[in-house]
Amino acid sequence: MVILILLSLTFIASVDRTTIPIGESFSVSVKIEGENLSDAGNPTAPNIPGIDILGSSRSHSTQINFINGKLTKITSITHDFQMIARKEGTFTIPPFSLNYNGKKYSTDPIKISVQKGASRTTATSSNSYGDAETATREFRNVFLESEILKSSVYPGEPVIVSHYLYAKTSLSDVQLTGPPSYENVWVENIQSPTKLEVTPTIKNGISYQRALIKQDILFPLGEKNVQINPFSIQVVVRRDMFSFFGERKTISSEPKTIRVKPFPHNHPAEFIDAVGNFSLEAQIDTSDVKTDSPFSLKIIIKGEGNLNLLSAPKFPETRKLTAYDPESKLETRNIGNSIKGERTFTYLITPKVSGIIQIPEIKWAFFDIKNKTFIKKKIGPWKLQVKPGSDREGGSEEKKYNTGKDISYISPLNEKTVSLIPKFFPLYFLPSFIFLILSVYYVMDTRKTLEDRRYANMKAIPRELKNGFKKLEKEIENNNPAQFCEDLTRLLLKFLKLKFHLNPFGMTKKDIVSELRRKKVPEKILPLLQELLERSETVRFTSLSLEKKEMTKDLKTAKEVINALY
Amino acid sequence: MLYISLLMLFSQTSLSVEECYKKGEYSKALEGYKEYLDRGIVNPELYLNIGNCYYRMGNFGESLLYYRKAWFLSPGNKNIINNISLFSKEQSNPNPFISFFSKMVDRISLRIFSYFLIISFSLLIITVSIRLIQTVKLINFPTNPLLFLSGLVFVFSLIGFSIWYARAKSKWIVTTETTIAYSGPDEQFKELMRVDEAEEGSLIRKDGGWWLIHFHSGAGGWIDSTTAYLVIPK
Repeated sequence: MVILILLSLTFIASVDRTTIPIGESFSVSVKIEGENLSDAGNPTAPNIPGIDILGSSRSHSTQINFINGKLTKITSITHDFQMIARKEGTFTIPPFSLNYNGKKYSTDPIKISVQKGASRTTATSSNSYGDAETATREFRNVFLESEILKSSVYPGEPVIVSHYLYAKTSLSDVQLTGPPSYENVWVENIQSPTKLEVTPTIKNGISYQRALIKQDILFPLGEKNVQINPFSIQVVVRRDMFSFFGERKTISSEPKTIRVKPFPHNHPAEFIDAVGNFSLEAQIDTSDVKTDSPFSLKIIIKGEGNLNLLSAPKFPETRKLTAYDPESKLETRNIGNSIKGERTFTYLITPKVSGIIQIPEIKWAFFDIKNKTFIKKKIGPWKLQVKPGSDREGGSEEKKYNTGKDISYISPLNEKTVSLIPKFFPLYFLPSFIFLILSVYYVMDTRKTLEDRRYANMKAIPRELKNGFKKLEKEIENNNPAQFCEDLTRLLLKFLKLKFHLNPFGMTKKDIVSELRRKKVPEKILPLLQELLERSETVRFTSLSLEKKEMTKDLKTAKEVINALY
Repeated sequence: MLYISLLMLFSQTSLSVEECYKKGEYSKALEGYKEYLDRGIVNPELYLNIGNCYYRMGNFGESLLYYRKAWFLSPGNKNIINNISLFSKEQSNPNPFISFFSKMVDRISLRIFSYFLIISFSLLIITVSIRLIQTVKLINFPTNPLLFLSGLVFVFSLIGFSIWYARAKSKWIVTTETTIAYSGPDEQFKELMRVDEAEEGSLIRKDGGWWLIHFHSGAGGWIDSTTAYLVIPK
């Protein structure tokens, strides 16, 4: 419901309830309130289809205040319209209008729901004055309401809960029987007024007086839903302004649940539990770091969010450093509806070794509620010079590294150079391969010699010629013409046998020549061959002798003939 | 004369380096040992001593790097095995045969396997050649036992050689600083994990100043190349 305030005039309309059973009367109050208000006239009731106006009444009150030496007179005129709904459905009560001082004012439309057999949501009266009685919100003239700004939150996301007392009638002697309690949350109190301050308000189109009982910020712990437990007050209620005695009642709030939703699945590894908006700073004291004395590293998280719940960023412990659990210091302040401040984690770190040591970077992440994303932050790394402490380098601390064993002592040095694999490693395999190739060749050659007679003969010619020529040279040297001629004949005939596959030993010279001619041997060679054979035969079987010179000439001729025939 | 002078100089250097180590002056000892490296001397003992100096100085990544270099040259050296075991996260093989075989292979260096391979291969070829010749010529030589023996040694040497060669070719790396492994070759990529100093792995690929590493723990990722070194530089 909207309140119109124009030139110190308030013109509002409200209903006593918004859900109404068919055939039951309900009240629409139209209030005109203003300073020094003279007769404002009556508001014009709108025509409402489906709803009949049974009648109206008018009440009037004046309040005079003397503030800062100035007298003010507030006049309040209320017109109560009794109405009745004739059929089921959702209706809108159109604006009431008012003409005052030449200006037209109108209220906002009000939505109501008319239902078949709907339960009454108006107040139930007590049976007797002075007796304590438990009532719930159904006692609509006075009730407690826990108001939350968000119905679902992430773990650690702050949510403000305000506990209000609403009343239509005047109250006195308000006593809180027990403070509001919660489950699965960390609670930071924002305000708990010792004296209730009443302010007018409109709730669901109905005008109430409202007083704040308590206001807290809740930080859900984990992913369990947050429970806001019912709490109660005892209050004396007066039925109307003319009643002197009141009715003592115990009013309880309704329990409420805030749903806690899980974080998005893609959270980074360094995210622990920080929710809000933070920055990361570090302070490190590296002035005189020694192996046996710890130094401090401060990680300061500044910003807005669940500072009180933050876990310490994980210190990346290395083999050279030992870090102890950090000490934590929290400084926060409430600004508006949020908690801002800083949380300092102080790590005590002991270097295990001397020398230049690197503290790895510290990684941390928080969940940014506004953008619903994880923000990653990192700080460091730092390098520091660690001096040896009272223990010398390689002290007992080092020896306990990993297994408790120590390293082996240094070995005596030598000047030799050891390579990973021998130099020219593939070359060592070459002799074996050559041997294998030769063996294969030998085997193949031997096989061919055995299988192919012609090949074997051809293969034998050089050997036979070499031996034959050697023998002939020896005979020349010994001046033995008979033996020379015999050997020459044998060599020539053997050559012809191997080369032309003849059997010349049983053939005449003529037959040999004609056979060679048939085999298309160069013609010019044949007379030479025949001459050589004939002369050799003559010398062998007659007393004719040859001189060394002639033997040498014959040998030369024999070589020419063989070369020509080969 | 010159040889004796040089020998005396070297032995004196060695002594002083050793004394530095004994006195706990590890950085001086390290400098001394590094001079040997500068002179082109490479052997497992030198690497072991350099690793020890780094260990005493607290540079565990570098110390493991040099222990691994020593191990590649002399895997059967007990001192090297002991020192590496300080870093080791390896678990024993549940299969006793494989465990025995792998232990045996792990005790013999690539160089020794190379020699075994050359000898056994040569013997095998010679025996095969003799067997071949025996098909055309009568040679009275017992080739069967030699063939079996050389074949067996050859197969064992080939397996051992292959394992060690694969290790050397795998570009074995050791991290010398604690670093971060990313999903790509840049800090902009997703962070996968923190990699401690003295972690071991194999270099898969290079991209600028970044290395894609498959760590022996089973994980993998891109790391800044300045935080790791190759055990066997290529």
